[in-house]
Amino acid sequence: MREFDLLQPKTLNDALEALAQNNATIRPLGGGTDMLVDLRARRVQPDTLVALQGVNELRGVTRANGHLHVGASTTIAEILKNPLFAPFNALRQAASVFANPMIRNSATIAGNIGSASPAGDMLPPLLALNAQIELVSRNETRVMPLSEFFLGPRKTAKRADELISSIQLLVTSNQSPVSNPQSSAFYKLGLRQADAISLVSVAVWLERDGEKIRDVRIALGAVAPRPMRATRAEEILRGQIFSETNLKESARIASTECSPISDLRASADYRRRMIAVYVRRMIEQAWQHF
Amino acid sequence: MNYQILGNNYQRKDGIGKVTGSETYTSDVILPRMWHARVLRSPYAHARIISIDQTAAKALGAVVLTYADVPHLKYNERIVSIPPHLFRDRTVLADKARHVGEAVAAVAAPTEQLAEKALRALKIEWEILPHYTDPADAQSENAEPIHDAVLLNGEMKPIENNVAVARTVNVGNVDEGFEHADFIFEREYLTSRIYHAQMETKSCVCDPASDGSITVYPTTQSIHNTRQLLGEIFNIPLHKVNVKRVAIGGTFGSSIQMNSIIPICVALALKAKHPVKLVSTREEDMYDHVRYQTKLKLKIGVTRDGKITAGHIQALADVGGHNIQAYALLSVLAGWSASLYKFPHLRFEGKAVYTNKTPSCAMQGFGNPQATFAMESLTDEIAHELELDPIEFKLKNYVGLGGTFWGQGPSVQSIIRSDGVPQLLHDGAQKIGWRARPKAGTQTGRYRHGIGMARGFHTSGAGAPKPGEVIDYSGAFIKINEDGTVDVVHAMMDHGGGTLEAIAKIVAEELGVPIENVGISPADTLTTVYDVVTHATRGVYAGGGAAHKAALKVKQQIFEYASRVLELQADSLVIEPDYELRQGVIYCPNFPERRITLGALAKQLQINSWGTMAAVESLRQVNCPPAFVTYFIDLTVDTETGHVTTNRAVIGSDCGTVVNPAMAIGQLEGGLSKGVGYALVEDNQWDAQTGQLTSKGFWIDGKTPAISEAPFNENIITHFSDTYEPSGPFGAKGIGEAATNPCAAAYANALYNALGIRFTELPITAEKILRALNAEENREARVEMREMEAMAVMQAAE
Ligand SMILES: Cc1cc2nc3c(=O)[nH]c(=O)nc-3n(C[C@H](O)[C@H](O)[C@H](O)COP(=O)(O)OP(=O)(O)OC[C@H]3O[C@@H](n4cnc5c(N)ncnc54)[C@H](O)[C@@H]3O)c2cc1C
Repeated sequence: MREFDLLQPKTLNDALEALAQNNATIRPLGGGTDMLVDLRARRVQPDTLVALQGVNELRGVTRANGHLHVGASTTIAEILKNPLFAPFNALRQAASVFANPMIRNSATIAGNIGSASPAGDMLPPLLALNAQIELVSRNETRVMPLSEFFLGPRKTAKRADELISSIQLLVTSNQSPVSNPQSSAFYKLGLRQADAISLVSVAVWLERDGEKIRDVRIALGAVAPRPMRATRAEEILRGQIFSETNLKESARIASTECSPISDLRASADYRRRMIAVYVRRMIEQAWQHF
Repeated sequence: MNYQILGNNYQRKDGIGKVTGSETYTSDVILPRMWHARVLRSPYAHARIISIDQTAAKALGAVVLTYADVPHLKYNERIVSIPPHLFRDRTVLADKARHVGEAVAAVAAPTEQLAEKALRALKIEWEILPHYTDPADAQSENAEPIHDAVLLNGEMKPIENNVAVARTVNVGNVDEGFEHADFIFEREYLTSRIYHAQMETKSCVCDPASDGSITVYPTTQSIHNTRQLLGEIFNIPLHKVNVKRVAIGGTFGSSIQMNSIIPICVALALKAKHPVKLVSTREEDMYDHVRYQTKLKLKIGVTRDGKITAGHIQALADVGGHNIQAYALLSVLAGWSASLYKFPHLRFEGKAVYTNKTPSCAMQGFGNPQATFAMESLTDEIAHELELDPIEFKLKNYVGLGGTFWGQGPSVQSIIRSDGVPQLLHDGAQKIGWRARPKAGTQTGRYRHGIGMARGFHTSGAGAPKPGEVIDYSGAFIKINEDGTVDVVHAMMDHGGGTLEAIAKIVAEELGVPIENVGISPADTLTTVYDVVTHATRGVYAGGGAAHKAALKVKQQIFEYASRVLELQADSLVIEPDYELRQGVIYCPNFPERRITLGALAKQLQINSWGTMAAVESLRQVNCPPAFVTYFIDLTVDTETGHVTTNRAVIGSDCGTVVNPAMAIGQLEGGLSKGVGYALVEDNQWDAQTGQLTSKGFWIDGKTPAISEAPFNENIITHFSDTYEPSGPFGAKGIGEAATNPCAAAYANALYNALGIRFTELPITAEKILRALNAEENREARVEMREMEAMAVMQAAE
């Protein structure tokens, strides 16, 4: 492991200042559960790390203006514990199969997004839930759909001087007469059931209108250079009656939309087949939640 | 049998320390003035070192070692085999790297950080050589030799075509046997190279003293073999080499041999003149050892009514970069494969080949999970083809009580004197609902359910009437303290399975004292007599046997001294635990009022200056009785994903007298847990192009199944046979390795029952199952097509 400086700012300003000043290789540090592995494998060799643990502005989960604001430093463990996440079943399910309890206590949501691994487990649920991401730097704050944030494996739209400050999720209350009931589901297929890297992962979100699927979002992990939406598969279902035939067709299309690779964990062909199986199962599961 | 102590569950003596984290493992050992070591490991699979620039590392204040600085004596790390069969092919640090992760240099420095820095400062110039990941390529005509020659019994033996060792065994005349067969079955089975995945990584602390002696705290299964090897390599007389027993965090066979880091640590300590600590990282550990990968080709002839007429076994084992015990492996592969069956004629041809991969070594079962997977799969298949119940077929060809048993191979023969197999098969079949199992290949639909069965065994130790190819004996020293408590001084290691607990129980049972009064002393090589190693399922049977022998001697002394004090004939006395007095009490049943506690007796001895009641004994068991295990697995396959769920596992054990019931059950559950990983999930692949471990030594892939997918305890049904092994201490045999051996075959057979498909390659992953199902569907579709075409042709003809 190469030596580096560790900055431990107490305020968001100080953190952003450091990022703005330092034009050498500088990296934010969340829970460190990816960063430390990468450092040891020499995949990254920063001169400076900015630890965000002490920055209070990046913590906390609040509900305001029909949105859930999830602070960047929110840990995976907190997603499981905090009742504010109850409406987001897919996110909860992803958190519950994430790594192991020890890692879940340190790993942060921003770290998972920041790593931009195609297999990051929080990413498909966030995409299916249509999350927005807020990025801050010394000079500006910008908000964009998370779907625009991922550019490729480990490549994002974030500039070196920017931090992820929060994630925002739209909260619709099921009590309100105008909005339709919504439901989501997530599945991770690994080589084993804990501490595994996803072979494939599937998140779906449904909005129901009687016997119809009014709206749908399907997101896939580990089967493309970045977490992706299966938009053509969604089209098959959107506005249609919930039926076995549509479901099967949508699942089939999802499996052709993705572009998995073969590696030591699974072949591309197996991954494709599993996408078809789990897209169907997750839509069924989400539908059953209504 | 009625026992006072055996068969009861007590709190483990080391239990609280282990669950509270206060137990001391090697990595917890901290000594004054201690330095820290790091090892430089080869990034290449096969490469010669041209030069190592140490200037920068030395400038940092580190001590540096390379091949040039260490003894050049070639050693074999597992001195269990006798010298004529001990293939010595390695040195403390390697002159050339034979696999990725091979240790080629080492540093020690006052802090870990500095050591790491110094390590990074070493500059190596390499000459890269062609490497081989496949034994077939390694054997090719012009292949680069991985070893030119190895040291065997004092002479250099040239290695040709990278074949480490080959062995043939012939019983009768196989050709004749096959002539008598009505059917001949032939299949090839391939197993995987899995990592032991023991909790503790290999570690060592070495403390050198000014008089040239060393004290070593290693991760090991044998303190005495470690001592002898260190003495030999560093030319230190044995009384100056003290190896301490330190608690070990699991091993699964990975520390039968003296781990390669131990002599490196010692060499550094001797050079630095400081205590040195060396703790392997998980990555380093993964480059240190794997289970032998074997390709087994079986050919079995049977008569129409299901009698085996002949067997031909061809084995190819992948040794990796160093030959730890391939000769012994080939021997046991023959034994494990053939032992349970009556083969009138048998031929075994085994070959073990060097490759540029992590060295292979014993892992829970030492070749037995591999052999049993093949043998129990093929016998299941034969039974199905002959339309016989597999249980019936197996019993029909079973060696059975009184039969000669090969066990460890042709040179280690013993007679079966206790046999729980028929009972275990009967009880297991009943518990799983064997007769109600589906007919193979008849199910359709998403979920398919199957029941499979396999049996197996492991020998309790490697003892035999005559000296064999491996060393097998133990020793124990027992003394009675002046308050009636007992010290048991025994060199054996307890890997967590409760071996030392069992030894304490055997001693308490024989001496008639409460178990709390028996202490297992800390052990080191200065104060214990020799024990070969805790391996080969020999702990209770052989190690316990030695302790039992010493206890019998001490008991004799107790009665002799008590007879003086009580004025009764020694032969008339008995001793029993008195739980109110918390003492063993000695008395004569005819005069029960004349009694004395062991504590009072021992005190009296001291007051009278009579001496100490104590004995030291060595024991070689002249048998190695098979500990049998039967597996019945009930599983469900999701044919959409290939995912297998274990519904129930019924595991039967014949370990003779059950000494530690809860721990015996734990062994069976543990055997299942390791076995499921082997059967369905675990694998280590090497990249043929680069010679790298594809997982790069990171423990992300190929892991053991998680606790969350293990069958729930209530779905694991364990049962034991009512057997008594006449040669064992209080009728006990072993259990540990037997517990896992039949697992993979039971899964494969259950999968056949569910799907009608035979799997001959481990691990049987979800992906492989799905691929096989697909191929099967396509085949069926093709058959249907052909039938339809044929019909059409017929119709057209009409
Ligand atoms: C044993 C183990 C098991 C794992 N299992 C899983 C799993 O099951 N599923 C899964 O998805 N992942 C898993 N991971 C990977 C890792 O835990 C996750 O990706 C985690 O979410 C990373 O979060 P972190 O806070 O630790 O990030 P860090 O390691 O601190 O950082 C990760 C990256 O994000 C950047 N970053 C962090 N915070 C910010 C911020 N606020 N703004 C901008 N950039 C930021 C960092 O610069 C770095 O590039 C596992 C890791 C380990 C070691």
